[in-house]
Amino acid sequence: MATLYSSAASVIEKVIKKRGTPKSLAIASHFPQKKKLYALVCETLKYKTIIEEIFEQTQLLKLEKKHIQGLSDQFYSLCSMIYAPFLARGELSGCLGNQDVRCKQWKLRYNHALVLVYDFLFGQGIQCGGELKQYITKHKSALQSSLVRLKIKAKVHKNEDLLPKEILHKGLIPRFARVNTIKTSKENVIQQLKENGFEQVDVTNVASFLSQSKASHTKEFISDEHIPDLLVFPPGTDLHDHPLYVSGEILLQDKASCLPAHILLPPPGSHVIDACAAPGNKTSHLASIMSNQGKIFAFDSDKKRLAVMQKLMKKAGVDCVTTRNCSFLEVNPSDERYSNVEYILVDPSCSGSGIASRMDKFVDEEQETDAKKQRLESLAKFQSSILNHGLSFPSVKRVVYSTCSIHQEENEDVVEAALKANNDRFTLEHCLPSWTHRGEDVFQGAEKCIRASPDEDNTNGFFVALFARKASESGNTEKLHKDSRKGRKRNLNSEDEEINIPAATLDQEMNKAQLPLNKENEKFESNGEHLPSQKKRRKKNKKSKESKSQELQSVGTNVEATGFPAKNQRPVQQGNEDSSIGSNIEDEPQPLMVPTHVQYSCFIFGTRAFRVIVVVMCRFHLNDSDAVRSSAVVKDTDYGRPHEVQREEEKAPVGEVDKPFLVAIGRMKATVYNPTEAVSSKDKAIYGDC
Amino acid sequence: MAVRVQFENSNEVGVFSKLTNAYCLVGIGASENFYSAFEGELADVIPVVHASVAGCRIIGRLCVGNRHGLIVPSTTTDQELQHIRNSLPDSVKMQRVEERLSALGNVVACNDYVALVHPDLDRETEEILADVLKVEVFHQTVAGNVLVGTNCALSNRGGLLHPRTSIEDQDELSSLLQVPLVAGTVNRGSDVVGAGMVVNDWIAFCGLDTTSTELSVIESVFKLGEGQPSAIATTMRSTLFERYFK
Repeated sequence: MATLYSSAASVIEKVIKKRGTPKSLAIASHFPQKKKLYALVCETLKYKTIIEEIFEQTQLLKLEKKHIQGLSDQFYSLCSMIYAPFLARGELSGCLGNQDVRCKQWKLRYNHALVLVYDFLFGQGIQCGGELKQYITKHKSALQSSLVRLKIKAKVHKNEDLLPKEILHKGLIPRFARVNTIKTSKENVIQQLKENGFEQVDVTNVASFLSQSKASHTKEFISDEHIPDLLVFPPGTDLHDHPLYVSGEILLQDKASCLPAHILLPPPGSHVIDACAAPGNKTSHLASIMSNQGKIFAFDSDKKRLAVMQKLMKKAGVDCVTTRNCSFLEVNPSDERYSNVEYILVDPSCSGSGIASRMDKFVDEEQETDAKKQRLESLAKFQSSILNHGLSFPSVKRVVYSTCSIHQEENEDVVEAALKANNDRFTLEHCLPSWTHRGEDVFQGAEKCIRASPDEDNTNGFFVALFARKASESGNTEKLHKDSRKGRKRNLNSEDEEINIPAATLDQEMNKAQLPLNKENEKFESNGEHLPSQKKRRKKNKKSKESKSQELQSVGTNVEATGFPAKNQRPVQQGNEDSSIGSNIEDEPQPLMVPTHVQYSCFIFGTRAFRVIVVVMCRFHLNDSDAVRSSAVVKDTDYGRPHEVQREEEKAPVGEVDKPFLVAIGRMKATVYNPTEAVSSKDKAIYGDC
Repeated sequence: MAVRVQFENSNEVGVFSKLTNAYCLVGIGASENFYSAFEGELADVIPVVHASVAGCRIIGRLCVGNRHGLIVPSTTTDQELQHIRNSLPDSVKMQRVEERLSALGNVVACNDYVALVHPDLDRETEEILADVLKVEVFHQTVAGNVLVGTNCALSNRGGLLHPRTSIEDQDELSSLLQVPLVAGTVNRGSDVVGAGMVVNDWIAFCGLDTTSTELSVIESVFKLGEGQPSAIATTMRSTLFERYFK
């Protein structure tokens, strides 16, 4: 068993030096019982800080070192006495040197000590004999005493309670399997699983499924609530030799890594680039979404990993992928081959800090140093350059940026920088509205990105952001009404990304909303609230002559005062100034009906008392093939209370029910939309129609 | 498990009782409360015996013993000796010793393998200790105090020492005893831990004043209420496999 300890020690040494993950190193080790080795390594790493504390208390390493050195010194002096005559002649100098080397081998090294002390105090007890055991038995009582002292200090009884809480109560990650729709269908797979003794459970929430399955440990599975082709099994379900996996009909892929492709959602037949593709899980997911039609260009700079990827593609039956062994940065965006590329998936190499099985937490803890910072910095630089390169492709419409890191430097910061650099052409899209774990609030709009973590979402740590080309930039919108476009262009400055609704639509809805709003604004004025915005309002009031536009303006400013981004204000004003009301209702909805690709964000405002809906802005490009997907997104949106709204409500005092507040902010994709009808039958109708 | 008991308004449990892995002696008191506390916990496992030594009920301080045997001072009467011998299991040897330091409980601290004794203890007594109790004997002090029995409580799984014992002394003692040792108190800060509590491998009795912090220290160091640690380790290990090797 001594080999177990020595191989575990060497694995740990490599893990600490960041030469690999515990899992890969354990599998690569020569030790035959890999599971045992892996468990020992993982557990030792978990207890590492505690064991180090014990080292410090007992001075185990120092004592052992002293002992060995003492021995070697004695040995050396003995040797030199015996061989003094030869030494004098310089004949035996090499021999003594060798002796020292051997002494060094005996020394109890840190990694060995870590493993041995773990198994002695927390594991099954030392399972080997010889020197290694002697090291421990010599210090047995001291080690035990110091453990007891640690426990007493921490006021705990059990060894496990010594571990920090986040390790102890770490969220379990279930086993996810994605159905490869190229080879089979979800129904087929479910059917086969059922024949193999698995049971489908009717639970949609992964967390509740986990808590349920933990008790019974049965062969159960559910289908995932967010990603349609994903099946969820209890943690530790072994599928690696299941016939479905062997045949490539299912792929073992974490839910987090399914998110980017699902969010990019390229339609069948489109051209897609996967910037850092290997080992190809996401690429095959893309192909599966595109029903293996179209073209995927996959790049990776690592030849070995690319070979693995090609194998995987073969196994999954994907044949629309062209792989190329080069860095994505070397790819020329103006190359003709990529002129039709509208979708790009950017998943650059990252620190991998989100991957739970890497156990980075335990290794990194004391390494909050410059080295780590530097590493993150250089990674972030690389990620930024890859992302910017992706955004520079001429006809690209949607770019997904994802990492499996939990560090803000690699996630929000990179996105923010890219957004700043490209804000004339690209905007962040609110992806996966039903996902509650959003990006960290470091820049305005960070909540449009999503994050995943083991604790909250039962997946590996992950980050996804979706960039979309601005409608004014993309070719689709050019078909839109010329007049409204002109007006828009004039008012669009670099920050106003969402304001692409034809002004008339707004105006028309405003008209409907006008009556109740009128009342409200009076109240507002008399309340004297929102003083800073009042000045503005009055100025504007002077300019505009129609009373209607006055009301509408103040709605805009009101919204601003309650904390909504200032950009919302502009389209409202513009609508009032530019358009005459009568004609708009019939003329202006026209551009909305243009059957281009739909991608539309709408903001709705209203009052609690009157339930008036005002659509402030939206953006459309209609497309027939999107019909199914669009309805799904709409269904996902929590219309009642998106989080921005909740914040608003908290601020409003109970008595003032008439204050305008945000009813909903949601992104929808729509195939058919009839504003007149929607407004007349109020909010429900709007949602019903979309 | 650690239990709080009181002997006629006194917290010094270790004075009025002697607990080992094979038997328990309890001093004769006016009320049976103390005795029944022990009996309630131990009666199914080991004999709990009413006893007196030399007509005194401070038996815990006068005699010394472990699961192999019991040693009583020369002042013990024949009748008392006979009564105790009749009550103890046959495997437990009994011996009366002629020793100047007749409060054996105060000058000897032992578990089933090792005994720490007063530096001035007789050579003869030392040999008897080694024979009857089957222990290795070491002349030691605890926190500079010669009354080792008064100032420490030992079991085969751990030991509690006088609160002023230095870390070096603790390490030295723990390397002699081969069990984890910590310094601590019982009975709301009393430093005479040997007199304040009795303990064996699965249960401890302390005075009624013992605070919950003290109790939790005692439970930690004597590993009370842990069940079978090896079983936990093995079952845990298998779940760990499942969890980490997917």
